[in-house]
Amino acid sequence: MNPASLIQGAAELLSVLSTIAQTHGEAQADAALRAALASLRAKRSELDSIEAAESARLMRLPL
Amino acid sequence: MSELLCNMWRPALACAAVFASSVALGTCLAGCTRAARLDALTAMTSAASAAVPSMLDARERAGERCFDGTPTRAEASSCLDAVRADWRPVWIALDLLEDVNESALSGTVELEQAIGVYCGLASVLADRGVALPTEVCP
Repeated sequence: MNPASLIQGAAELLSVLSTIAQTHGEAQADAALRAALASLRAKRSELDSIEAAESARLMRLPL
Repeated sequence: MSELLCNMWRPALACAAVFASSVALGTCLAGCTRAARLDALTAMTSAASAAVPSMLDARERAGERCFDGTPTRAEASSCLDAVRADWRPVWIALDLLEDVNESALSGTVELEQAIGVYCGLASVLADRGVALPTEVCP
């Protein structure tokens, strides 16, 4: 095989592998952000129950 | 160079922190890979999320104080309105952080904007006795 072709082939292979690695890294980072956002939203939702309990307690007070 | 440094400094919050404290922040934000910027945003979101139980505890305690003694319904209601107004900036800051996350997931990661939102959240929380890590804040 022509050495120049071999080198060119290797360079192209490295380029493809690099692109694959970068895409995989972004996909992982994307999934991690989605999970963090979902967790934040789930925790925040507890505020609703705090406010609901306050409102219920308020209704039990004398006018 | 900045991209290399960003990738070396994972978890990425540290990456953002290193550059937030330097004049090279803009260079870093432009130079980091998208994955590194997403990681930085994830780190800030996770830090905010971890602090939510403390936020809710502090918010609940503030509401509890409205029922101290024997208030009338009108007095307690007025007090609760004030508590809810006082905490509104916190929930707005969290809304903004969620918006930045949504934008990042659907397109460009505006890390500089995210840092501003996160540091704003840290500031309003500090006023209410809840601490967030602020190494990322300039």
